[in-house]
Amino acid sequence: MLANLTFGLETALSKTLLAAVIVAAGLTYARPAAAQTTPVQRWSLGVEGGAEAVEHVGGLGGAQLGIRLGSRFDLFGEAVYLQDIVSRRQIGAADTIAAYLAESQGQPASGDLRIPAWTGSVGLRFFLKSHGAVRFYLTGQAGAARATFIPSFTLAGGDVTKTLPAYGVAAGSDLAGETTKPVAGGGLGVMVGQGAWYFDTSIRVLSVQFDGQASHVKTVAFGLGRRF
Amino acid sequence: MSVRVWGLCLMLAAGAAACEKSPISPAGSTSVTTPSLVSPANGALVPNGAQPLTLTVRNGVVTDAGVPVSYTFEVATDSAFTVIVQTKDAPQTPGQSSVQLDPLTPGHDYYWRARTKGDDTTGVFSAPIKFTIGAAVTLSTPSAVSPLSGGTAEQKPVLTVTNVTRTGPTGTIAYRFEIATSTAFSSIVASGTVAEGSGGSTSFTSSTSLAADTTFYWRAQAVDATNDATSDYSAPQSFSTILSLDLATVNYQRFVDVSSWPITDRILSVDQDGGDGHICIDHEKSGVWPAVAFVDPGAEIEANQWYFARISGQWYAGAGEWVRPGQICKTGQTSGEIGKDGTWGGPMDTWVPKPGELVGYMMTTPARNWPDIRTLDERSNIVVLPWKVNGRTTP
Repeated sequence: MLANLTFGLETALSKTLLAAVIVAAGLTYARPAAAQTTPVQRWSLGVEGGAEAVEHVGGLGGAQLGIRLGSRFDLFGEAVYLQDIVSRRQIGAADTIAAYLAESQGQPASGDLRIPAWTGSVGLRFFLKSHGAVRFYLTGQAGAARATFIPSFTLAGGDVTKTLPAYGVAAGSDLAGETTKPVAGGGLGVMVGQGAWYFDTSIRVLSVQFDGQASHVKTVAFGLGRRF
Repeated sequence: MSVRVWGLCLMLAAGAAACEKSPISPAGSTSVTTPSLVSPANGALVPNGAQPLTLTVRNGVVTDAGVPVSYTFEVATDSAFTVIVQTKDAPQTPGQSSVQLDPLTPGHDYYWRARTKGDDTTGVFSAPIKFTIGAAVTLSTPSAVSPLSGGTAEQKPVLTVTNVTRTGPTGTIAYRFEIATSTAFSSIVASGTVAEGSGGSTSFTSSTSLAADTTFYWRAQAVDATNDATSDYSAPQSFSTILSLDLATVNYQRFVDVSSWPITDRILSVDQDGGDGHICIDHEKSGVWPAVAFVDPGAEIEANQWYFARISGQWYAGAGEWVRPGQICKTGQTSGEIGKDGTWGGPMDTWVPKPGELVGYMMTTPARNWPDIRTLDERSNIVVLPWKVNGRTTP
């Protein structure tokens, strides 16, 4: 089911990109010539929202501050909130503890884990075209992620998350607490609009380097920004 | 709503979500669970003699299989673990992990618990369980009674020791006997454990038939299985086996098969001479076994003398002579007569023992088929001795 969700997410992304291209093309050819002579504005600030997926699908939201370095390059800083970047292995650890609870207590038990995270990163955007209303780009970025582990355990229908030690469980940092880890990633996107306002759509993969295993976060983001 | 407002809302929502905190703090890098306590079980009584005691747990769960895992074991005299008498660490082994304790003071209750340590995560202790170390029991060393060094015994010897003295709340005492071919007892040829006998001594009869004419060594120790206590071994004694017979393989010719008759009698001495023909077999039940009327008017008998001859590798037995109450000596058993007298027409008819040839002797209650006289159906042991003729047992 998760694979279906992820596949669905990627399919939706493709459709979105196609739609964005069509809209951008329309905007490009519909705009008056005077608008195309707008003076170069170096800075940009935008907000973005979208979806992300690792083992679960969640939302994302954030902001991006950019500066134009040349006709083809933008440098940007980005802060993004990812709703849940839990990996299969991390869920497996929760399942293992739930199985222990069920066996040792002789009652049905369940375990789950969510990992929301903030990422802060700096990146480069390389435009395939130096100018135009619709410009596709490749991007790469690196930074840090602050992840919060939110486990949830039930035993016989009751929440025992905060009383795990009473059941013989000492949760480690693979199931609890907060951690800051390196993050790096990249992707591609399209930026539409030549004036002050622009529309940005991208798909990216961000790799959060947890201990033992990286969590590869697939994202699709839709942004709206203004140059100044 | 303006774009600015939408952006602000998005930022606020993200910020609120980002304020989520983990509901619990991590204890280390990996998650671990408490191990299950396996042995000793709750309420177990551990004999003092079973010390040093080994504590065993079923391994706890560690979510990261790649980290080093160990277990901490604690033993205390109270369930609150305010008085911890021993703390031991042991590395994890597959499935279960164990640690051996130092000896604990006997006659006390103890509690033990364990916890898992995986990498830098120290788990929580298990709920403690109780066990008891049994009282101290001491047993003195048994002393050999018979056979003593230099003595003889049958191929299935009877070994006897004095019962031990003991201190402490002992359980049932038994005695383990060992027979070996050397004083090192590195090669045990027969052994067995018997319950303590009455009358101050305990005897063991080997069910293994030892080699004849061979020197063996034996020893015994007392065992209190309840408290897992043992005494020292008795001082080793040597004995030589004499040839004895397995009645189950004997050919009884036309006489009664007495192999299943209980041994209630013991031969005290055998004196015979094939020259003048006398055979005197003194035995404990002489004059004791019940007398019964014989075919001769007014005559009574109580037993039969038996003779055993080995002919072509086969033992034959014959109840040769009737004996009257208290009678031990018979005549007419010269070398040329004993065969005929011990068979009455059977395979021993032509048997003429030579000086030095091994001949067996036994006493039974009446055991001939003619006249058909029977009383208790009891017998003595069998004594095998070289045949003597005119005072000589050599050809």
